[in-house]
Amino acid sequence: MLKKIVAYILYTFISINMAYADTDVLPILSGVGGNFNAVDSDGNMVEFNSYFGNVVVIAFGYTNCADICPFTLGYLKKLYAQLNEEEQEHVKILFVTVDPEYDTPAHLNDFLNYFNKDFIGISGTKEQTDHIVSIYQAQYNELSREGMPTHNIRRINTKLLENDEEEKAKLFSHSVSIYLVDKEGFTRSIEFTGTPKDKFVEKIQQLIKE
Amino acid sequence: MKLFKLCLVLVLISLSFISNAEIVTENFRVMMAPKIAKNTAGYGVIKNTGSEADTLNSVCSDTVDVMFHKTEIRSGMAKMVHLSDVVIKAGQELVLEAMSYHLMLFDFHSAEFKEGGKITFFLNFKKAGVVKVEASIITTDSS
Repeated sequence: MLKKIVAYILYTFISINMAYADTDVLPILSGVGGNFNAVDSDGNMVEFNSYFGNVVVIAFGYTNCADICPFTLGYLKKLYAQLNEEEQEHVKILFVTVDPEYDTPAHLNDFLNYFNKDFIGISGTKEQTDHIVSIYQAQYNELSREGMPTHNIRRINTKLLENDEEEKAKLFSHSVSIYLVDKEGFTRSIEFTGTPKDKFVEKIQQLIKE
Repeated sequence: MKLFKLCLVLVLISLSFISNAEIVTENFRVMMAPKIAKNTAGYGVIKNTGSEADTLNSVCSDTVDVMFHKTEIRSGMAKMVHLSDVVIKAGQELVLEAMSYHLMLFDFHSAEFKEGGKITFFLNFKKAGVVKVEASIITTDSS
C-alpha cells in the first residue's frame, strides 16, 4: 500500500513538473531595455521600437576589440546559423558599438559583414550610445580613463600615433552580456557566450512562437 | 624592418642563454579578421614540461606586431590587460584562449594574411630561451 502511495506521489510530482516545463515562460526582466534612437550600419536613423515584431539579440562591443568582440560575433554567427530561414526572418542581431566616434555606420557594416550580412550595427552619437548602455544596465569605460596604460597596449603600433584619423581608435572595457528581447521589446533573458548555443536557440525559438 | 631587427637581436641574446628548461607549444592559431580590423588574436597552449618554473618575458614576430594580453571578466565587464613576465610553473600549462590569455596582433594585414597561412612567433623565456611557434591562420568557424 505504502509503495502505491509513494508511486502515486512521484507520478503526480513528475507530471506537474513536465507540465510546468512545457509552459515555462521566460520572465520579463523589468527595468532592462527600452526604446532608443540610433543610426544603423546602413546609415539609417532607427528607433528600437521599429524592430517590434522581431526577436532581438543585442550585444555591446567595438571593432578595435581583438579578443572578446570577434569571439562574441563568432558565437552569434553560429547561433544564427542554427535557426532555419523562416526563424531568421524573425530575428535581428544587433551589435551596439561603445566607440561610435571610430565605428561609423560604414565601418561597422564592413566589420559585421565578415560575420554575417544580416547582422545590424548600431552606432550614433556618444549621447545615444550612453542612453542605450544605460537602459540595458550595461557599462563601458575607456581604458585610459581607468588609469590603464594603453600606450603599453599600442606602443609598438606607431602608425596609430602618427595618423590623426587612426588616433581616434581607443580601447574599452565593456559589458559582455547578450540580451534577448521579445517581439514587444521586453528583455526576457540575459546570456553570455558561455551559454550553450542549443539552449540559447531554444529560447529564441520560444520567443518567436509567442 | 626595425621590428625584424629587434626580433633578431632578442633571438640572438636569448639563444646565448638557452637552458635545459622544456617548453612545448600546441595548437597555436591566429583568427582571421575582417579587412578593416586593426587587431586580431592568437591562441594556443604553452606547456612547461620541465622540472622548474619558467617565465615568459616577451613575444615577437618578424611579420606582425604582437603583444601578450589577458581579457579579464569582472562583474560582467571585459577588460584587457597587458602582461609581461608570466610565470609558468613546472609541469603546468598556460592556455591562451578567447576571453582569457591571448596574443594581440596589430598591423597584420598583408598578402600573406589569409586563411591557411602561417605566422611565426618567438616566445622569449627566461630559462628556455626563445621558442619558435608557427601559428595557422584560421576562421572563427573552425575554432
